[in-house]
Amino acid sequence: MKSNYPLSAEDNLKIFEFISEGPNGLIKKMIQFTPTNLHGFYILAFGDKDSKTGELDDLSISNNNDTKRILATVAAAVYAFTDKYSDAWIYATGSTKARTRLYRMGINKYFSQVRNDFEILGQTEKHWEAYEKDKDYGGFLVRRKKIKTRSK
Amino acid sequence: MTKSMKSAHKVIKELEKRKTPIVRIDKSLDKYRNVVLFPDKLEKANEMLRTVGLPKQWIK
Repeated sequence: MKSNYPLSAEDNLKIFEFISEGPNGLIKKMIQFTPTNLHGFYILAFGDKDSKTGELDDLSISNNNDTKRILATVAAAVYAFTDKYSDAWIYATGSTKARTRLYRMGINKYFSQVRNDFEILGQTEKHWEAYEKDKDYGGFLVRRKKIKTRSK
Repeated sequence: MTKSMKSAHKVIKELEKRKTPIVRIDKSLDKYRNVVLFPDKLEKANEMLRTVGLPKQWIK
């Protein structure tokens, strides 16, 4: 997997921050795993942090030529989060259809690696199904696979 | 290569294989703990629950 940006986090590992580097300079980005009233169900979101106002924006296009590295960084945060919250289901969808397609491309790119570690479901209009690389989905659900313990 | 160099080299190789990153804990991020940073995503998740619902794998 492509190298990710260095990550900082608050100690519950539900909020992460990293800095994107590219032609448009240094851009702070934040990732949040938002808990919900459904126990173990979290929503993944990330976006740019405005350096002046501190406001967050998941619609901005920062054009820093580092999309792949950003996706690798988000994936790294998912690994860190699910190391701690091993039973969590994480829901991810893009703020636009184009963004959702981008996430699908990211999953497809690293599919052979991530499917060893995660159950991955794709959201169709009517149901959830096991993720398939060539299908268009509206969202994704992932959960860390249990490590099988070796018998002594 | 000395024994300690070999040991350090082994640790570095193991770290490079890790998929879980080393994450720096930053206390300044604590202020975001009870804040929903991306409320639109919460609304999208609610819409998903209304139209599609949870997967059967959830119930297992």
